[in-house]
Amino acid sequence: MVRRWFWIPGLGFLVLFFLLPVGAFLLQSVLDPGPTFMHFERLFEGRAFWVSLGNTFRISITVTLICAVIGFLIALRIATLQRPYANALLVLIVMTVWISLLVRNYAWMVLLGREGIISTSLVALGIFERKTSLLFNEAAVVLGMVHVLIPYMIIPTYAAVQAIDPALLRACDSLGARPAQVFSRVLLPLSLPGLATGCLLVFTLSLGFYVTPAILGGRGQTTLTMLMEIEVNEQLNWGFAAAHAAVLIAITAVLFFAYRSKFGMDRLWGQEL
Amino acid sequence: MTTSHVIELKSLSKTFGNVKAVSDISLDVADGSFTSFIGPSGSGKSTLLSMIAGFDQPTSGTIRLHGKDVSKLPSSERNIGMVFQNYALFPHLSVFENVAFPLRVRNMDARTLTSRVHEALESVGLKGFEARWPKQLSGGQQQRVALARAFVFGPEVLLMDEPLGALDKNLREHMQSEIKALQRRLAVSVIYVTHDQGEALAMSDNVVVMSDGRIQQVGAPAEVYRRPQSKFVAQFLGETNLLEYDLVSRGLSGPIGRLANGAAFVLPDNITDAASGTLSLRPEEIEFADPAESGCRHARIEETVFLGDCMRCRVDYQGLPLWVKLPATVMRSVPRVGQNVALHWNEASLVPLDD
Ligand SMILES: Nc1ncnc2c1ncn2[C@@H]1O[C@H](COP(=O)(O)OP(=O)(O)OP(=O)(O)O)[C@@H](O)[C@H]1O
Ligand SMILES: [Mg+2]
Repeated sequence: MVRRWFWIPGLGFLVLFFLLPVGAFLLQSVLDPGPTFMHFERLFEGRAFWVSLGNTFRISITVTLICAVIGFLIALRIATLQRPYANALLVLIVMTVWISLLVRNYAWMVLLGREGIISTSLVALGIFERKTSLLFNEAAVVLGMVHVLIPYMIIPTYAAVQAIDPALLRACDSLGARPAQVFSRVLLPLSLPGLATGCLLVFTLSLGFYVTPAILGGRGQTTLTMLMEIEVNEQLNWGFAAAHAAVLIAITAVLFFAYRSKFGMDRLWGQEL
Repeated sequence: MTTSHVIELKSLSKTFGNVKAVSDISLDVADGSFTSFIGPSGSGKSTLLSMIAGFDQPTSGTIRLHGKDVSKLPSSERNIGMVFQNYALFPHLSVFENVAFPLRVRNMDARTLTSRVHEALESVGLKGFEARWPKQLSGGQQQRVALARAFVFGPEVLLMDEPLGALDKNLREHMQSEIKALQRRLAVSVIYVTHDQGEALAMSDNVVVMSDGRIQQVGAPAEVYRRPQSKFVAQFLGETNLLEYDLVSRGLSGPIGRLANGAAFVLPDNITDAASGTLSLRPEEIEFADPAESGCRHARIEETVFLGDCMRCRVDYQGLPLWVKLPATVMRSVPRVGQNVALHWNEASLVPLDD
């Protein structure tokens, strides 16, 4: 009996501290100063929006793809380890999530800066002629974001990979499949639900990333969240900022429902997600 | 000289750490035969099969497949079909695609592939199941798909590791005869691992009894059952009575032995000259005779176990416990506990054993 009411505090918390503030903020996009579509018209007409939307997508897609490749390889490797080692590694990976994003991004600033160890080493090795900053470009942003987001790829992918019955791989061998065929015909398809979960997580988190592009990126890496920050903090135009947010949330929602219709309902293989 | 052996094992060994899973096994398997490996848990059957399949590298020794040394070849290049205990069907592929898998990785053209897959599915009685998913099949049906997938590409030998272990008794017996019929029809060599002795005896041309990573005895089922060479084989295959005896004399009428209970009896002629030894006497070789006859062995029934088609009785043969198995048809009067009977057996059914 008691169990039926357990969800109430959780739901109350969500409504009070998430849905209400976010809803109130989003409403400003059509209610500030009065009922209006002005903010959206201005948004879609301005060049800055489309450019930063492009930046946001380009960076997010790059980060997601790199995370998928590296994360999948790491997950495969961990899955071949003995349990105690695998668990220890997973704990380490999860722990990195607890370290502040700011700390990790500033660490990259130090490493990639003009006086940083990478630049000075490259000079010492004679590859660079003089000390150069490696900061404020897309590679630095992608590097910083992959570093922060890769645990979100590794965890669901590992879960999918380690659930694959080792007998299937032996069956592949006995049936004459070469390693590349084992990978493309069995390993990859069976890991796909986990990979898709990881991609969804990394991509949606990337869309909303602010700190990394802001401190590691340059002009060409201006994202939607950075435009919003300017509107909120500098222009004090909350309605216009809310319009940006509405677009981001709409994109995320579309992705989420697309994912759900493809993987969430797919119970054919009895794959639990 | 053309070799008629599908598999030749030469002093094959496998060590895991300090566990000798398989030690020094040499064996030739005749082409087209059905050979069963049977032995208790941990006797190295699966390890041996894994080495033949190429999943495990032997610590020493060689494996030849139709005369060719394959010891160093990866599994995928050995052309060996394998049926796993838990079927190991690909959950993301339909029945058709599961069976087509070995043909697809060999880049077979679509037309031949389709007809081969249909043929294979038909021969295991699964016509019309092509579009199903493995999850939608019963255990027996999944086993058939696994079987079709293992032979569809024409492997040189089919390996099966306890393929029927997960099925219930009726289905298991049904699948036994189906697998046997299929093996005859395809004329394919089968190596079969089981720890069900009935299964091994029923299906095989040859039985290989293993224990502790070694071969204890090899032979046709009837041969191994009737003429076990060691205590282990005699006890592992079927039930038996072990009779310890001392050699009393080698008289003109044949060797005479004395049992622990003092009873003297005629030993089989092929007995060794050792002062003592052990004989195996199968419970079904003992008959109840009329106690009034002269020279008979008196015993008392201690326990009876009704088994449907037969009855097992534990009798006290002058201090020596023996098991007797009577077919239901001869039990005109049901033996009762406490009843006095006479035991009768033929000297030829006493089998001398090595220790
Ligand atoms: N990967 C391994 N690492 C260490 N020891 C192993 C390994 N595989 C098998 N063994 C050991 O080798 C011996 C033989 O094992 P194997 O699985 O071949 O036995 P089996 O005859 O197939 O038994 P069962 O009937 O239970 O399947 C056992 O003592 C087992 O513990
Ligand atoms: Mg085994």
